[in-house]
Amino acid sequence: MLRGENLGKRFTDRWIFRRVNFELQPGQVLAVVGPNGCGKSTLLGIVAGLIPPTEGRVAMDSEKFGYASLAGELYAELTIAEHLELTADLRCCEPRTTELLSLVGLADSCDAPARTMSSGMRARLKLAIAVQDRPPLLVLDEPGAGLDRQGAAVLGDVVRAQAKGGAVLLATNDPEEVKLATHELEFA
Amino acid sequence: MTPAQWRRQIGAMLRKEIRSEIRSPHGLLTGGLFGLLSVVAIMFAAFNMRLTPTLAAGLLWVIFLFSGVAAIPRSFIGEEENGTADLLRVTANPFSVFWGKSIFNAALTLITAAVLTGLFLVVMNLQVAYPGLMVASVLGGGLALSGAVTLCGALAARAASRQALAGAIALPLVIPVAVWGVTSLRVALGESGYEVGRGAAVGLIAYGVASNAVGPYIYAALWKR
Repeated sequence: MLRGENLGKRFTDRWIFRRVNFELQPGQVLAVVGPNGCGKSTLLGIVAGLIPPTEGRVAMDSEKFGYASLAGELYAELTIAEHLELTADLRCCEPRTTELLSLVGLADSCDAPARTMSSGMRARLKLAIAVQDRPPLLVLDEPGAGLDRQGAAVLGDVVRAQAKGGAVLLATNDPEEVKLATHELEFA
Repeated sequence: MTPAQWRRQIGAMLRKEIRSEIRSPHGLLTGGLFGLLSVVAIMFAAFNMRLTPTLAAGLLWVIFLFSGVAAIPRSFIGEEENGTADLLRVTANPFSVFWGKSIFNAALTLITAAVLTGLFLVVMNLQVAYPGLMVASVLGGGLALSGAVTLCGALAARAASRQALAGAIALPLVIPVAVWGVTSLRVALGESGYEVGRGAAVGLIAYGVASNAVGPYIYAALWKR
């Protein structure tokens, strides 16, 4: 489903990582773990096509994937429901607004503008956006940051549901999130 | 993609831009205020002077350029600065993003240009010799100016010094627009050479169409790093 071959990334003259190889099959959850600054987010950015690798390549069976990142921002002026409406229209898929907001526990806040949302609410909305199109692959960069216990449980449900038919690539430092993984890729 | 899918995607970007502008009216305020201040400044400077058509056209285009160049590049640069660009990159295609924003920028520019032109004509007590050419000149000028600055905003959005680069890129893109704009507008205000003025108005419209046709291909090349 997903294969990273000899991936490496350099910024100016400093290599963040080199010779990274991994493979992800349906039913698997691969957790990328490592200290801060080791390149976990960079690797996921490369997989998502947002950052070009300096060397190596990423091979995906399908171009369709869901992506959620701690660093990614939302539109401050749009409401939660409007975000899902926007991404559904851009993807030409069904919005599933009611279903997704119930899934991530934001049903009571659907008309709240993003600028009023807490970091945990933003994380939940990003998760909803990532799974909206029922992608075969989820790429999640520290998805649990800012989530409370209920939110962490939602994340666990989403990852486990995704792993039933698809796969998840997860970058995290949270031991509880690592427990969701079937495999680990450790960065030094 | 099917035509219905294109309409859906472009419509979604356009709705997003409209909602953002209504709830946080940066473009209208920046462009409108710049333009209004320029009109007021010219009004005081040219008090009791009778402007020739050429001078009036030149001054009006200074107003257009101030308001247009100040407001529009933020549509692409703002996505990068606010950190929302990656959300678009993983959900949208660059053509739909470009055209959605371009349509919005064109509408914003045309509204601003129409209001400022009307205000300028009244304040400076100018007579319009060819109303049809005047409308074509303002519409064409608005379309061409928005196309040029939309493109320069898209080109500069990924750079480290975005604002400075946007200004530098805007210069060669906007000069032809300004030349054609002044040429068509001065004829509309009574200067001789109707054919030349009409040709310049056609040039503006063609430039606007061309920049919007070519722009997304250039933007797509810069879409992902």
